Amino acid sequence: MEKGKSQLPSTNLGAVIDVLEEMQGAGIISNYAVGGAVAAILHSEAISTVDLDIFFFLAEPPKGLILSLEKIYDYARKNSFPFDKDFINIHGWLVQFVEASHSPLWTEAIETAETMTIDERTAKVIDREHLAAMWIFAGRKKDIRKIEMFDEAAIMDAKILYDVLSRFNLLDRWRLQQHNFSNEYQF
Amino acid sequence: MNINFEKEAVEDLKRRKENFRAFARNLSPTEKIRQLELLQRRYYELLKAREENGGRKIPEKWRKWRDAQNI
Repeated sequence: MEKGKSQLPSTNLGAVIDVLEEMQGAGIISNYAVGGAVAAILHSEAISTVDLDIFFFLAEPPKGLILSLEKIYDYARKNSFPFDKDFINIHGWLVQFVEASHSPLWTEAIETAETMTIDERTAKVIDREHLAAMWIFAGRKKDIRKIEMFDEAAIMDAKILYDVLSRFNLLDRWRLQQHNFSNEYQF
Repeated sequence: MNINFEKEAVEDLKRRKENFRAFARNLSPTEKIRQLELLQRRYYELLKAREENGGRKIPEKWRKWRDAQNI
């Protein structure tokens, strides 16, 4: 069998990317990138997860303190995508929309996202070092495990990671957890 | 003798696991997503079997996933 090909059915993620591009074209969101466990998988290897985290900016930035995702839900209604308080079901993917404008780290993560080809579409995916910084900020066991996975695969650039962690004041949090990581990532 | 055999078996298992992980890391993004979709289906079957055998209930997130898949 040719490497990178298989007999498995095609993925629906390409169809989700089409929807996100359409939302961007319709002026609902201005920019977005895949984050969370699916981004971890795209950079490394498959791990079990059910949801797809999409970090995004609203095309019309929130005016007050209260964030409204009503335009996103309107879009879901119009396109018959079922949703509840947690997820929007887009072509079988449980998509969680995470508005990122209040966080300088998340903002930069979207703005510097990498592009990958998935199902012949161009997908924006948060890079490894920003993901690691986001996970160290969240600090849950499952987040630390994802950083360990990146560490084992040796796919983070230590210089870039140090730069991101220091600019977003995350070095102290990293140092609390760095006993879990290899020598390269001892800061 | 037995200890050596067990040690070799464990080493062999570790090697095979590492080889598979190296293979998995080198797949294309599309193929990684296919692998994830396969993993999701297998994991859900495990959760379902556990519940059907009197174990813990399928977590809410996975029920939502099942509904989204129309399983």
